[in-house]
Amino acid sequence: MAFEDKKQATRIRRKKTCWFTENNIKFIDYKDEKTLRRFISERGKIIPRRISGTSAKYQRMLNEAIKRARQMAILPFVSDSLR
Amino acid sequence: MRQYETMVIIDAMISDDAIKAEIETIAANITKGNGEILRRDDWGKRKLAYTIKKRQHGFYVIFYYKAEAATVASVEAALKLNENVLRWMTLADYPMSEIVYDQTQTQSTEDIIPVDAEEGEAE
Repeated sequence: MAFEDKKQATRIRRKKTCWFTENNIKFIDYKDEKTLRRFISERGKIIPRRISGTSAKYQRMLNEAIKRARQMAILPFVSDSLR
Repeated sequence: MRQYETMVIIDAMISDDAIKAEIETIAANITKGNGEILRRDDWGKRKLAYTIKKRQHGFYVIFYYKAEAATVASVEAALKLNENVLRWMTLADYPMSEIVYDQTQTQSTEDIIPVDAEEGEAE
């Protein structure tokens, strides 16, 4: 019985919210490194929407911004810091 | 006339005077074709996220300007031929932002050791 209770408790998930909607940010600039860094993994990969909870509209904008930042060497394509 | 934004990465290994001269040349190219520079942002020397042309650091400059399409083409042609320019990107009608690179934010600039052009080439 105790085991089942525990299983139930772990299933409760917090609702993810879009960071951009919450902070009322209308436009994502590729020059804004500080913001973009929040949405890339340690490896330099773009964090998927299913994990970050970003809305579709802002995820599209974010994708474009991150890719532009990578072109201009503001963000890495791959980060080899893990070694 | 449209508004353009051009970000240029200049080789940081060349001397400060040479960098300044390069920026002036680009600015002159814009104004020569009846372009109007609205704002210029100098981010200064910055560590690149990855090496470009064997360079670890670059000098970032962003031009915000209004110009005809032909002017932009000529500016880009000049950048293409310039060996001190590591990379550039032009965006049309991109909203002008207030974002200025904060040098203290992500990395310190202390590890950037200015090297003269001759030494840089000798490697």
